[in-house]
Amino acid sequence: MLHTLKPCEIQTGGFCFENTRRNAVLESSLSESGYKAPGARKTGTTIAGIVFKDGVILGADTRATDDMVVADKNCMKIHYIAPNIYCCGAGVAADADVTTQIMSSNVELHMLNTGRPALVTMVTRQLKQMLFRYQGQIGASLIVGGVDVTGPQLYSVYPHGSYDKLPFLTMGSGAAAAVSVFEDRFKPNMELEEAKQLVREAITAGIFCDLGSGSNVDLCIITEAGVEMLRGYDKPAMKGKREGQYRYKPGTTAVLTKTVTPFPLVVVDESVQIMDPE
Amino acid sequence: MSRGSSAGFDRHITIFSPEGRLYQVEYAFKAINQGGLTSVAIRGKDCVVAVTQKKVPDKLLDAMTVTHLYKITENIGCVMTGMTADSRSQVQRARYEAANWMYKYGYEIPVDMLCKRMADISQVYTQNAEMRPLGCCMIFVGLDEELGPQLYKCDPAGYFCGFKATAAGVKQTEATSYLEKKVKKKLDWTYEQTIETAISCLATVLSIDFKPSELEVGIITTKGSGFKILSENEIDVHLVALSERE
Repeated sequence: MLHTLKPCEIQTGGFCFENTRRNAVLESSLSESGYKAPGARKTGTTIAGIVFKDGVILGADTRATDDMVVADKNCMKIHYIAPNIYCCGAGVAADADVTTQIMSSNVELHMLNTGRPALVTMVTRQLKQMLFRYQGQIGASLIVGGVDVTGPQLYSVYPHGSYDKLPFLTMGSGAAAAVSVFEDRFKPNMELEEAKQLVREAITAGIFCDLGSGSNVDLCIITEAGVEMLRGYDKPAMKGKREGQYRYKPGTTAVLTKTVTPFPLVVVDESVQIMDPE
Repeated sequence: MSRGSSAGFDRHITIFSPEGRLYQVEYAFKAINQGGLTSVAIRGKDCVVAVTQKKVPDKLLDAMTVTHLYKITENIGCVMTGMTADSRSQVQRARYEAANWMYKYGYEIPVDMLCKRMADISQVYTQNAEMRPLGCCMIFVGLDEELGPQLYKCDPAGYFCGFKATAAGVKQTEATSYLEKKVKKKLDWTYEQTIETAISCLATVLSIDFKPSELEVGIITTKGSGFKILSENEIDVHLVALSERE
C-alpha cells in the first residue's frame, strides 16, 4: 500500500547530458585536425495524411538525405504499428524508426494484455509522453493514422511532445508545399480514388518543391476492412529516357592521314610463375 | 513417502505448507466473514446491480458515513465485502490504477482489466512473506463500451472471474445457490427485475425484511450516466414493488 501514498508516478528518464562538455571539447579539438563529427541522417521529408469516407490514407516520399547528399533514394517512411494503425515518420531517420518500433512493441503487449484491438489514442498518448520525456532530443515528427472501434483518426506528434488531431495533416521539410494542396482541394468524406489522388498530388508537390524530398510516392490506405500498402504508387521523378545516341559509328570521323611506326621489342628476361589454384 | 515437516511458520506467513496449502490465504477468506455482511451482484440485459447490507450497530454512528459501495471511475463501481480498512485500501489502489491507465493510454480502463490488475496485486501478497493478503473481496460492476454490462469479482487469493451473478460474505454459499436457481442461461432481465431479484435474494438468504435504511444499492445502466448509488427513496420504491409482488 506504499504505492498509493506516492502521487501518480512520472517516469524519470530522458538522456543523460553529463558528457556534453567533454564532447564539445573533443569536437573542437578534432575539427582542428580537419575531422568532422558524423551527423545524424535526416529524412528531410514530405509526409501527409487525410481522413476520407471509409478511413485514413497516409502518404510519404522516399528520399533520405545526409546534409546535401541523397543517402537513400527509396527508403520506407510509413511504419507499421498495429494491424490497423500505421505511422509516417519525419525528422531524424533513426529516431523515427526506433520510436515507431518501440510503440509497435508496446501496442502488441497491450493488445495481448487486454484482448482488444489497439486504439489510435493509446499510441498517440504513449508517443507524446515518451517524446516529452526526452524534451525534443529525439527528433521524430510523426503522423499516426488508423481505424479503430471509435472510427478513423489522424494525429500528428511533434518532437517536443505536442500533438494535433485533424482531418488532414502534413509534416517534414516539404510540409508547406503539401499542405497548400490540401488547403486548396480537401473536402470532408471524399471517395477513395479522389482521396488517393489528392494525397499523391500533395506528396508530389513536396517532391518537386522541396530539396529534402524526392523519388517516389508511397501510399498506405487504412480502412475497417484492412490495410493496403502501395509502395511506389507514383514515380514522378523517374530518370528520363535519353532521346539521342552518343555512340558514334566507326567511320564518322574522316581519316586524313595514316602513319605507322613499328616498335621493335627485345625479350630481356623470361620467368614463369605458377598460380596457386587455391 | 514421508511428508516433510514444516518449521511451523506456514501458518504465520505466506509460504507453502507440506500439503501445498497457503494457510494465510485461507485465513484471509475467513476474515471476509468477520464483517458479518453479505453482498450480492447481478448482471441484467442492460444493467448491473450490486446490493449489500448496511449495518449500523451503534446509535451514535452517523449512518451517512457508513458505506461499502464505492465509485472507482465514472463507469465502474465496486462493492466491498470484508474488513473495512482493507477494503478502503483496495478501493484507493483501484482508483489509482484506473486513473493511471487513463493517463498512460488515453482511454478509460475496461472493467476486466481493472479486476485483472487488482487480482495481480492481491497475488503478489500471496507470494510476499512480509505482507499479508487483504481480507476483503471486491465485486466490480461496470459498463464496457463494446461489451456492455460487466460483473467481475476478485478475491484475496488473486483469482478473478466474470460473473452473471455472484455473492460474497457470510451467507455466500446460500446466496449463490439461490441465484443459481434464478439465473437462466440467457440474460434478459430488465432493470427492475434485476434489482428485485438481488434484493429478494438477500432478504431470503438472511431472513430479514429489509427497510430502505438497511440496504445499499449501486447500479449502472446503459441508459444512465455512470455508476450511481441509489437513495433511500429509490430503494423504497423497489422494496414496495417487491412486497406487492409477494
